Amino acid sequence: MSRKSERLVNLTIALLATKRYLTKSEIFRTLEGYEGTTETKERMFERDKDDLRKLGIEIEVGSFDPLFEDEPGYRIKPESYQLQIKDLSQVDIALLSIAAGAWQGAALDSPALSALLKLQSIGIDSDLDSLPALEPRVPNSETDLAVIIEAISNRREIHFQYLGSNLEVSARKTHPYAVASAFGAWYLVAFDLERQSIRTFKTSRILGSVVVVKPSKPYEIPLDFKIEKHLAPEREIKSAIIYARCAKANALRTTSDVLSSDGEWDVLSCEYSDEEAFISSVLWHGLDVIVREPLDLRDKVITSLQKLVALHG
Amino acid sequence: MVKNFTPTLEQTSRLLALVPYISTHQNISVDDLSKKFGISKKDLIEDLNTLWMCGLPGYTPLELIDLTFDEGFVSIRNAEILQEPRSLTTEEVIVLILGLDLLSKSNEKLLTEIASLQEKLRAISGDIARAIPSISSSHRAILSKAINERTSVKIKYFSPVSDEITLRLVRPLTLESKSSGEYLLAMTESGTRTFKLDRVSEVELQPEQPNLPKSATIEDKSELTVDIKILENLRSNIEKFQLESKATAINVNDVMQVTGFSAEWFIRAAASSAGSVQILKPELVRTEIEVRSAALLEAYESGALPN
Repeated sequence: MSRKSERLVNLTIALLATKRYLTKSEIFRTLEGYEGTTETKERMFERDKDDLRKLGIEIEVGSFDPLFEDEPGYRIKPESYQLQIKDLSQVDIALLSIAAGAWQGAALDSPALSALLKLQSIGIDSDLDSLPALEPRVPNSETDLAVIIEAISNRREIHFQYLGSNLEVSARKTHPYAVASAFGAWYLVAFDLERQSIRTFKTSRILGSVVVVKPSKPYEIPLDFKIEKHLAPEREIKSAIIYARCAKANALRTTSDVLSSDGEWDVLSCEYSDEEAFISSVLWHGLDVIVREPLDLRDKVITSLQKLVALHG
Repeated sequence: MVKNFTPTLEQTSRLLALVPYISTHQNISVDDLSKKFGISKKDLIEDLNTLWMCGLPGYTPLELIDLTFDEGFVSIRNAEILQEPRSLTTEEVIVLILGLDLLSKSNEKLLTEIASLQEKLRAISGDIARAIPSISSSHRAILSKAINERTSVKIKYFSPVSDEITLRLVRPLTLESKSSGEYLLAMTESGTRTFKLDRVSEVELQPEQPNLPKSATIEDKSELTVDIKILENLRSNIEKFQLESKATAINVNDVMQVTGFSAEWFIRAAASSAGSVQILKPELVRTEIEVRSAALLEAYESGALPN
């Protein structure tokens, strides 16, 4: 294996060092390792180019002499080969190292490690001492996040089975755009090819494994794509007035203001956007929470209570 | 280092990563370098022997990379062309963005630095990864420190079942990560207890050692099996009662057995399902749901607040 690695490294060096495009014949003549008939050398070269691309090295193809357009030339632009972020401080390096550490033992610890090695190769010492102790950790995921993230990176179509709200299973064909983690759960934002729209999937509702379609035509993620829009769809913020027993209803108090209190009961003004979730939270608190207004919300709570009595009496 | 690559590509990728790393860490020991790259010393020596044959066309000593490593320390010269670290792949950028996001709520003073790094990274990849942390990274760091140093901490903890926020003095034992979240196992005055980390809102190291039991006792919790009939909202109810593993086999009106530790939790969970599930057994849980719901209804009807 060493001889081939050696040839690939030499090819990288030659294509990086050149200021103009190198033709295949120049490469075969000057680079060590290309041997055999012209056909063999051509085949080796094609494979080598593919291999470098797999490693994320972009080879630019161009013509070095406009008069002889049929002879293409090759080179690697240093700008595309070299680290894209400049001007990092010692604190930046420390923060990025801590960030990479969030993946320790998790699905993507290998890209985390390779990213870290690149950052440490810049030659700036990490100033960990100036930072407070921080220990981030990525939330667990039962679905293979590495597969999804790799598919997003390579712009590959993915297929999976998804559990609907009534437990119906549907086969989804998608172009994955983004991943997000919120409140301990993971989400995939993807363009659903059959429904022709961007959808958000909770990864814990994906059944079985995610299949990466190969070969698939790479797609583009729209330039104006913003992940935020698909995580928290804009909803009208509503407000309700509730009675809450003092020191109780803690979960509701994070989005509430106390309007008044008689020492035993507080009157709270609560904000919510998802009515069903709000009713559910009100009911969780049992005899500690009573909805005062709006009336239609109060009526819905009363209907739910009647149902609960009927079911459990 | 990188998965899904053939050994040759893996080695090539490593060779290209070794040059910039050695360039900025001249005279690093073979030991340290092999550890850093997660490979054996033997593999590292083979890598270095290969690199030693690489260089610009011509391949005379003038063009070849000049590596010294025979005395257990590695140094490199004449490798300017490969000396800059390689560009980050999209995967690496995503991993860093998510890691930084997880730090965002932990320390206010670092927000500007984190935001400016995020901007640089998102300029490379686009807005394709986001993480909203539910657990503070500094809380986790303090708890880890307490575990390592066997010291105690004061935590502020919210229990949804008892609907109480309490301050507790505990000695952390371990942090555990499960599919339902992260948990802290800690020694408390009444034996060991499990705390869900996302419900811990404050953590403070405690210098004085409280008198906590020395040996771990098993948590005194008796199991409780509840029969539940799911009438509507199948998916949200199987998620609530953690029946995901049986998801594809469940139909409307199926009776499922769910095991848990707290009757109070079942009472509240069933009530919050707003009538989309019915508890059949045990009698105690079922009646309590009825009694509480009826008392609430009465309060709504009479206009008087419940006792």
